[in-house]
Amino acid sequence: MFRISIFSKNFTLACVLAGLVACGGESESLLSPDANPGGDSPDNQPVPSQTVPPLPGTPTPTPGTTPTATPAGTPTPTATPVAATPTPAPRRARNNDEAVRFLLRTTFGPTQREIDALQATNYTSWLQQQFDATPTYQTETVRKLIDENARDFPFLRSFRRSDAWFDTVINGEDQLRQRVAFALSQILVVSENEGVLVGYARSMANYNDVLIRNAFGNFRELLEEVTLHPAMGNFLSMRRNSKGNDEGTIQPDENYAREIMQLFTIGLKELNLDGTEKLDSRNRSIPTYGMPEVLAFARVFTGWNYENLRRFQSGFERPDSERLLKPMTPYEDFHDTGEKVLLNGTVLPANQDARTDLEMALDNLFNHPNVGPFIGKQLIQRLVTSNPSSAYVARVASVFNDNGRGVRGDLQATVRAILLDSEALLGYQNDPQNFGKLKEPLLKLTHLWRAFGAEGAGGHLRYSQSNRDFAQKALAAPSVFNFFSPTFSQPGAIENGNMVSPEFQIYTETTAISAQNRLRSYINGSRLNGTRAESGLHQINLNFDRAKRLANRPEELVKHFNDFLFAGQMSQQTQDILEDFINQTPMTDDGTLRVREGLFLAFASPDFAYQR
Amino acid sequence: MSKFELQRRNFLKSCLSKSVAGAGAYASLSSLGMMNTFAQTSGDYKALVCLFLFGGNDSYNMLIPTSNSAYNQYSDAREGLAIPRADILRASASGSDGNDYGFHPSMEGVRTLFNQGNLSVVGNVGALVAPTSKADYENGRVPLPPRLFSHNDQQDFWHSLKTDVPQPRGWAGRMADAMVDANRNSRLSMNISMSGRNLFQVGDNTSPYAMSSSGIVPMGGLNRSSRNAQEQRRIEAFDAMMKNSYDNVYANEFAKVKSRSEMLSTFVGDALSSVPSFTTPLPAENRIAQSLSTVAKMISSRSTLNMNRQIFFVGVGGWDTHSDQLSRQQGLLKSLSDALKYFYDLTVEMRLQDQITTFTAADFGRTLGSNGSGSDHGWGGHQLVMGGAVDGKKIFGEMPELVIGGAQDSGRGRLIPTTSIDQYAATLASWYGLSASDIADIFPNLGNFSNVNLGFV
Repeated sequence: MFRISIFSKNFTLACVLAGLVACGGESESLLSPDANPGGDSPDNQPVPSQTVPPLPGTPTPTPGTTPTATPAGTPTPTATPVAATPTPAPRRARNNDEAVRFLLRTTFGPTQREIDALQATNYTSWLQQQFDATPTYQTETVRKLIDENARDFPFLRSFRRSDAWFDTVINGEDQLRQRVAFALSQILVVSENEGVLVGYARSMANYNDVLIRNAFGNFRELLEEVTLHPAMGNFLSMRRNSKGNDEGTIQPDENYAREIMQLFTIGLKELNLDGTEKLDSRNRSIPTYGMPEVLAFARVFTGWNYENLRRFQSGFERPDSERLLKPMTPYEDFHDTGEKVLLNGTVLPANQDARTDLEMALDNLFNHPNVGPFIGKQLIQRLVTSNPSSAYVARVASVFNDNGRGVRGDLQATVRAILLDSEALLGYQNDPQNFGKLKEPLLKLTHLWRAFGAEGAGGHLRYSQSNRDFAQKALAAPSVFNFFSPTFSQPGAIENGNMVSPEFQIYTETTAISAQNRLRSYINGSRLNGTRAESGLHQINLNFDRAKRLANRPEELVKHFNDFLFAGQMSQQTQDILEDFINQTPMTDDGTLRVREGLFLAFASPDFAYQR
Repeated sequence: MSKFELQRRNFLKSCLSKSVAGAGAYASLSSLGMMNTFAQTSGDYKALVCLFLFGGNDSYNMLIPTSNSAYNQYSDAREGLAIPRADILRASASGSDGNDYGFHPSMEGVRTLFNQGNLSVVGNVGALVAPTSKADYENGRVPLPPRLFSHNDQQDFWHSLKTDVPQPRGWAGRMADAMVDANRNSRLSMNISMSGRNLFQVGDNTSPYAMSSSGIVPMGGLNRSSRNAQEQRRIEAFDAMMKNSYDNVYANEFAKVKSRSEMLSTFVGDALSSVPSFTTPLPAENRIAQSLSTVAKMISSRSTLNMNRQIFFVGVGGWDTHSDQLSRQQGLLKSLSDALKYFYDLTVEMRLQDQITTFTAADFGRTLGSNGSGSDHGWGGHQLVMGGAVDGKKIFGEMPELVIGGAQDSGRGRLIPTTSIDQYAATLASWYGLSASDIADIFPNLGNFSNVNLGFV
C-alpha cells in the first residue's frame, strides 16, 4: 500500500493532536528544520529554529473540508535584520549543496561541470573567472539568422532573437554575466510586447548586448547607453521628442522622464541607505520628485533621434537599418535650451546643447542617494532573496556608493557584494522559513535544460511562447513595469508577515498549470511541432543517461535529484513520496519512464519551487 | 530516527502549520453550506464586468464635442491630435454643457449601442479623495490621491480607492467579502480575472480566480477520472506533496495556489465543457472580445457553478499612447468598440442583457495637450457603461471645458475630475445589490461627495 495514504486516513485525528500539542508549547521542536541529509560537515551545525508563537484566535483545524494545501507556518515579522557586523560568511562552498545553491543564483541552472568547478575553488575566484569570461553577444548572431532566412515574416524575427537568447543562456560560458543582464533587463525594461518594437529583433538583441556589456561595468555608463539606445528611444518615445512650441500648446513628451526616475534610478520615495523609506516629521514618506521635475527632465530629453537623418521628424526606419543599433544623436534645433531645475535644486543653465544637458541630467539622477538602495535591493531580489534585511541592503548599497576605491556605481563590485554577503550565504540556515524566493518561472525551464544538456532538434533552442506558458519571456514584459512588481505581496502568510514575493504576481491559477504542463512536455520528450521555421515550439531533446543508470535504485535516484537539482533542500516527506512513487513505477525499459515520472513530480514539487 | 518516525514528525508539523496559519483565513473557501436571501432568490443573477484599459485611455478622442465652438476649443487644445470633425460619429444626445457629442470614427459599435439606449457615457471620472476645484488643487486645500499621474499608483488607486495602507484591498474584493453568502458555491470565488493578478478583486476573504482568457487548461498527467494505474499513483503522490507543509513560506504558498488551480481547473473545466457554443460571431484578432467570450461562457454555466453574483476583470494593455497616438488609437478604440458590441450581443443571446453591466476604467485620462505625437499622463477621463439596465443614450456627469489653462486644468490639460471613482463605483455596487451601509464601508471617499448614486444604472 502506498505509504502516504496511511496518513490521509488519520488526517483528522493527527491534526487535532497537533493542535493540542501546539497549545502545549511544543511548537519549537515540531517546527525545527529538517535534518540536513548531508549534514556531517562541522560547518553544517543545525541552527536553532525560530520560536513560533500561536496566533491569537487560532481556529480549530478543519482538515476534512480544506481542499488546498497548508498555508505557511506563521506570519512572522520580516526577517530580523542581521546585526550590523555580520557573521563571517564561508569563503567557499563547503559541500555540494552550497555549490548548487550558489549556482542557482549565478547561472541559468547548475550543471555538474560547474558544480565541480565551483567546489574546486573558492567563491571569489569563481566569480573572478566569471567576471573575466568573454561576453557572448547576440546582435551578430541574430543578424546572421535573419540574413540566412531572408524570407521570414517579420514576426519570425522575434523567434530568431529568442533562439539566440536561449542558445546563449543555456550554452554560454559567461553565465553570471548573462544572468545579471537578465536581471537588469527586468529593471531597465524594454519590451517587444507592446507593438512599437515588433519586428525590431536586431535592435532588441542589441539592447540586450548593452546590458550584457555593462553588467559588470558602471551603472552611469549603463544608464547612458540605455537612454540613447534606439530600442529604448522607441519603447519610451524619447526618440523624436521635441521641445514645445512657442504658444505652449505642444510640450515635450514626459514618458522617458517619468520612467527613468520612477523605475530606472531613484523610485518614487526617498530612501535610507538600507532601502527603508525616509519619513517626514509626521511619519509620511517623502516623494523624490513632483510635476516640476517631470517637466524639467522631459525638456532635457528633447532633440534625439537616429543618427544622420535628413528630417528630425522622420518616423519609420526599416527593421534592418543599422541606425537601430547605434546610439541616438542630438538634433539641436529640436532641443529645449531653456534653464531646467532638476533634483535637489540642481540647475542646468540655459543655452546648453542636448548632450551637455543629458550628461548633467544623468549625473543628477546617478548621484541621488536612492540609486544604491533602489537598484541594489532589486538586484538582490532577482538573484538571491525577496526580502533582504535592511542591513543586507545597506551593505550592498554602500558598495554601490563606493567600491572601496572611491568609485560609485561599480556593478561588478555590487554583484560581488550581493553574492558574497553573509546573509546570502547563510540565510538558508539562519532564516529557513522566510529567506529565499519563488523561482522565476523561466529560470525553472533553463535549469531543466542546462541540467540535462538540452539540444534543439532544429539546431536552436526554439521556444518562443514562454510568455503564454510562464508569463515570462526575455525582453517581452507586458509593460515597462516588468512581469511583476518588486513590491508585490501575495495575500496570506507572506503578506501577513509583511514580506514581498514579486514572482507570485505571475504565479496564478492559470500559469500554475500551463508552466507545469510545459515542463512536463519537455521532460516527457513530447513530440512538439517538429522543426519548422514558423513554429514557435521546436522539439527539444534532453539527456537523462546519468539518471537512468540509477533508475533501478529509487533511493539513489531521489538522492541524485536532491543533490543535483535541489541543493539538498528536498524535504524528507518529498523524498519519501518520490521514492515510493518511483518504486511503484514499472521498470519497463532502460529506466526512462522512472526518470521522467520522477522528474515531473520533482519539478512540480513545492520544494523545487523556491531557491534559498 | 526511523524513516517512519521522521514522517510522523513531519506530518504533525504539517498539521500544526495548518492550524496556526488558519488564522489568516485568506481563502474564500470557508463558507460551505451558508446561504442567505441572495442565493434563495432564483433567477436573481447579476454580473459586473470591468474592462480595464492599462496605460490610460485618451478619452478626449473617444467622446468628442461636435457643436461648433466646443469643437473648435477641442481642436485648438489638441493641436495635431484632434479628430477631423467630419469623421466623428454623431451620438444622439448632448452633455451637461449643452453641447452635442460624437464618438471616435472607429467606434461604430459603441455609437450603435449608445443610440439604441444600451450604453451611456460618464464624463470626466477620476481619482479624487474629495471634491477638488482648480483653486483647491493649486493651494493644496484638499487631500489628493497619492502620486497622481504615475501608472502603477493610479492603477492601484482605481482598484482599491485606498492606497498607502499595509494590506490594500480592491473594491470588488470588499464587495465580494460583503456578499460572501450570495453564491452557493464555496469553491469558486465571486471574483474572476481574465488577466492575471489584480488588486481590484482581492478582499480580506476573497481571492480572485485567475483564468486564462481562452478558458481552462487541465493539468497534464493528473486526470482524476483516468483509470490508468500509473496516473492514479502520480495523482496520489502529487496530492501528498501539495498537502504537506514545508519549512519555507514560498513553498507553502506555492502549494496552496497549485492545489487550488488543480481543483478549480477540473471543477470549472467540467462546467464549461457543457456550455453550448454561441452563435454571435467572435471578432477576429480581438483580445478583449476573446476574453469576453470566456466571461460569457462562465456566465452561461452559472447554474452548474452555483453562482448568483459575479465580478469579472478583463485588462488590456497598450493604451499608453505617448507617441503615434492617432494611428494607435484607431486600432485600440476599434477593438474596444467591437468587443463591447460583441459582448452586448452575447448577453442578448443569453437573455441576460439586463443582468450584466459592463464598465470601463483606466489608469487615468490623458493630457488634453499634445507632445507633438501623443499625449501624456493625465487625470480625469470619460468612461463607458453598457447593459440593458443602464440608463442608456445619455452623457452623465459634468463635461469639462476642453481648454488648456481652463477651469478644470491642473496643468498641460490634465483635467481635474468632476466625478470621483468612488461615486462611479458605488453606483455600480448599488445596482449589484449592496446595501447603503455596505457601500459606505466599501467606498472610503464616498462620504466626501454629496451625490452617492449617479443613477446611470
